[in-house]
Amino acid sequence: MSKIAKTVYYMNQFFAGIGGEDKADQPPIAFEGAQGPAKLFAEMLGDKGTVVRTVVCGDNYFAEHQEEAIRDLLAMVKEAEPDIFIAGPAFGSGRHGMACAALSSAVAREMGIPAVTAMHPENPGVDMLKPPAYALPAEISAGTMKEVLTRMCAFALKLHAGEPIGPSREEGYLPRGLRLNRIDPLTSAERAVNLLWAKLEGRPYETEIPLPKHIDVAPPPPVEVSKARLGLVTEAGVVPMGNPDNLESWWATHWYSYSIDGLDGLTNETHCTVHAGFENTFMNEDPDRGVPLDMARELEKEGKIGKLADFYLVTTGMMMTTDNAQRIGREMAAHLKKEGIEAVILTST
Amino acid sequence: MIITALPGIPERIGCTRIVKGVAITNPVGDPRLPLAEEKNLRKRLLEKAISALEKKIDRTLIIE
Repeated sequence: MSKIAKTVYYMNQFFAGIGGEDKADQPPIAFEGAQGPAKLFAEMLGDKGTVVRTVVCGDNYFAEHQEEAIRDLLAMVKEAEPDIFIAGPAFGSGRHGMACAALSSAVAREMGIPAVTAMHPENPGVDMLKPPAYALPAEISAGTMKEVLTRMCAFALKLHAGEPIGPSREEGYLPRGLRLNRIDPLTSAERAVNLLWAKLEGRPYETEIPLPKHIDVAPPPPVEVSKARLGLVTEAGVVPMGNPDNLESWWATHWYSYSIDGLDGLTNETHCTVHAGFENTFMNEDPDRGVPLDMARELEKEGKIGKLADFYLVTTGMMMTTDNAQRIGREMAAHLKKEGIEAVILTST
Repeated sequence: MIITALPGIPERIGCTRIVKGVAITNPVGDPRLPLAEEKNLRKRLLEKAISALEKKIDRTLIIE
């Protein structure tokens, strides 16, 4: 029999009754006991738990001061010494979803207690939710509040009781990108044939490995390159000889900027590649095969490129996690923008 | 824009201007060619890249 589940509950300024968009800049604040939907949640807990504190933050404040908001909210959560943490539900609301996901992930990681939130499967917060926190699926509209809270309550109590949690599909939470190994009585050959058979006979079937979704991005407008500042960027791991900053050869978490001021090309004496994902011989013979500086300079002299940036950016793309890739891409883009670069040629191996 | 020997990969993740490069080991080079020809090849790849940057497009452009 579990002890009573002391709960701390997070929600945004709207659900807490502080205000709407006009109060979206509300800094983190704590209320004793249950506010807003936490009251209904507390009723559902019954004698199995209590809501001891409600922590609240404005959606804009959280988005614009994420680090400080998490730090301050985490302190308010820790002070109440909860057994479980609940956030949202955020439904289709993106900023609320991102705040719920980020805070739940931080609580689960740092406090080691069950942390459960809920939002629509396409809420941008879903990608920010990290194990050991969980997010349950919800509809877009808040009209389904009671139904979602019921599921969140049952799931949180299950976690609190230490019950084993199975795959997302069976337990009703949103997939978190974790794959757990288990033994299947059929070999993969048998399962593959069964899958094909079902497909051919028009019976329902389910792939074992869903392919990643195609991502659509609106193409940026064109740039007149002969008048533009152009930057060279690469994931080929090309660095100055000696790899002065120790750029990783795989699982890279860093990127660097190196000067090409006054250089008309890269040579096997000045540069090399440290990328562990391909045979390096050819690129080491001539690093222009990875970062095309020699011909970029020629095109600059001919006026086809307005001005080459006086640096190039590099990381190593081998086995880079998508999280790091996205972060590094954003950081590089911010740096390029700050330097007034208007177009980029990215070389990839 | 991106130059890569495997255009299908950036295409799937939302890159919109793509030029097909030579090989994984040398996206903008070719060790099988004499140096002068290799430099020409590299220059042509960059010119394709520039043309991709200068083109107004409403969906993904892949230049082979």
